[in-house]
Amino acid sequence: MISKKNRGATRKPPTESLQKPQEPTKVEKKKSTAATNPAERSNLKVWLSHHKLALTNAINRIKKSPIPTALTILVVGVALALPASLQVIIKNVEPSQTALSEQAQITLFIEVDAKPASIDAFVAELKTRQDISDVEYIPASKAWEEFQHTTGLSGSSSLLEKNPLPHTVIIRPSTEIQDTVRIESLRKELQVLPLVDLAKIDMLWVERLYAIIDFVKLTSISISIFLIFTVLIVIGNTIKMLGQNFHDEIIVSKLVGASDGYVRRPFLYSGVLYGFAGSCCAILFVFIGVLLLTPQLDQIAALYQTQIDITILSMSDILSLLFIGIILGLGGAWISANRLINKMAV
Amino acid sequence: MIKLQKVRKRYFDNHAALRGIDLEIKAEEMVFLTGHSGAGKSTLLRLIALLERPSAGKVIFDGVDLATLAPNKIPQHRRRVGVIFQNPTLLYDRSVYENIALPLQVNGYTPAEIQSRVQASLDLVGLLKKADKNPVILSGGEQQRVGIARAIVTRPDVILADEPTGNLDPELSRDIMNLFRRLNQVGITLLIATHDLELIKSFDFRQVELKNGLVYSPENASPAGAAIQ
Repeated sequence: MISKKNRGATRKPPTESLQKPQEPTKVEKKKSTAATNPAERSNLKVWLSHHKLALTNAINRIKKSPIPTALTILVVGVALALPASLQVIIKNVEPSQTALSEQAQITLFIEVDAKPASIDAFVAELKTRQDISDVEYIPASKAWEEFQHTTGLSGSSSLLEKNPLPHTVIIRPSTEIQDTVRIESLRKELQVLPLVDLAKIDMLWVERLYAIIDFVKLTSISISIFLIFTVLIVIGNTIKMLGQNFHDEIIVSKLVGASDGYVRRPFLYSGVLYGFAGSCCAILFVFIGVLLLTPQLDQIAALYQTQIDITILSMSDILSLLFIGIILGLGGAWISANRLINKMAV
Repeated sequence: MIKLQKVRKRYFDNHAALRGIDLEIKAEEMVFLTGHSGAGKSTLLRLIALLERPSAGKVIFDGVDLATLAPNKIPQHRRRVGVIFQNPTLLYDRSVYENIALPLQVNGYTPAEIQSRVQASLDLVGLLKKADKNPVILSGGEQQRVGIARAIVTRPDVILADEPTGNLDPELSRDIMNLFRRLNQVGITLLIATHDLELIKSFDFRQVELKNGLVYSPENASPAGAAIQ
């Protein structure tokens, strides 16, 4: 009924207007507008209008599939949050290495038959050295007393004929010497000194911690690589799905002269938006995750007799996370869009 | 404007759609392409629109052999050729106006230009009042006219129409042919494939008949006077 009416109403104008004398003027007008070809306008303007249109299209397309969009953003968020959290943990443990190294100490066991006078001279000499910040001399008698006191073995001391402990000097390397290699070379230097029977670094646990940190770092790198691929695939797949929804639009656009770039652009914007939103999600997850982990980290720090001031994500961390998300979104979208375009080649 | 030299097209299934076509269509000419279904009319149009590539022979458009056209120049070629199908291939997720605006957006026209051109185009096909409607609620004839409006909105040099009246009743078909004639009067070259011989009888334009992938004997063509306007 309606269609018939419409036909009746719309059928008239072409035939009617043919007879009308003013019709040619309309045609003329059309011709004159055709003269302002877009090619004559600045390319920048066209380029900008295309980008604006692509962004609008991208947002509209995303809006039309809210659930896949939400899922994609969530998956990207989780995938980016995992390596980011590991980075946060590493970063929080790492700065305390300096503090830990300061606690590194070298114990020098003095020859048993060394004379007290020469030991005093030796200690005085150590104190003048630039690479040693602190020297503590513990005579054998004092060590013995302390040993008996702390172990509660004062009664059994008579069982031993004489003090079995050597004189010891405990030194701390200066703050400039913080890495294990330089502490080790200092130890070797001290080892060969005449009065020293044995020089021992008391920092095994520091080394263990370093080893753990290195392991976590390596793990985080491998996880990051896997997850980067995950993000690419997830975003690429969503773009592919979007593309199938807009199959007709792509075909028609190409039919009326859209370049591949024109067709690709909204998809790239969608990818960038997914990457950006995913990164934002990841940042949120990291904040929540680290806040939940803070008690555990504090506990670990307490075990190592240090304090960890939890820093979550710095501004540059946040920016680089956003950048990575955007790049991955762009990459995934690029791959998917190109495949779509090639598949739908007209 | 369009020149086909010994054009052959063989599909993957070894079906030979065109078996050596020689045809020339001059600028500002309007030509009817007739023949039974399967004669190769659609294939011929698709070759000119670069929707297909010939297996052999040359398709020359405005002096340029289309085979030598770089892939990045194909969009520019398509902008010069308006294509109208039997099914108007409209996008049903947007209004009539937006459908017609699409080629202009692709071409980077400003919103102001888009508005004036879309309206001029809608006016020409008599659908000015339906601009904001979704094409889904339009009748077949109206949808076809939306397709025509979309094809002419950029004012292409050439319009290729493949059975544009195939789904329409005789009265509507006549309207659309009149519309094509008017487009021809303003200098657009038209190549219209149709099997509706009854309809085109009253239009005095050159007819090219295809038969089994070949141009049928020249006696069928209309008098020379009609061939060149």
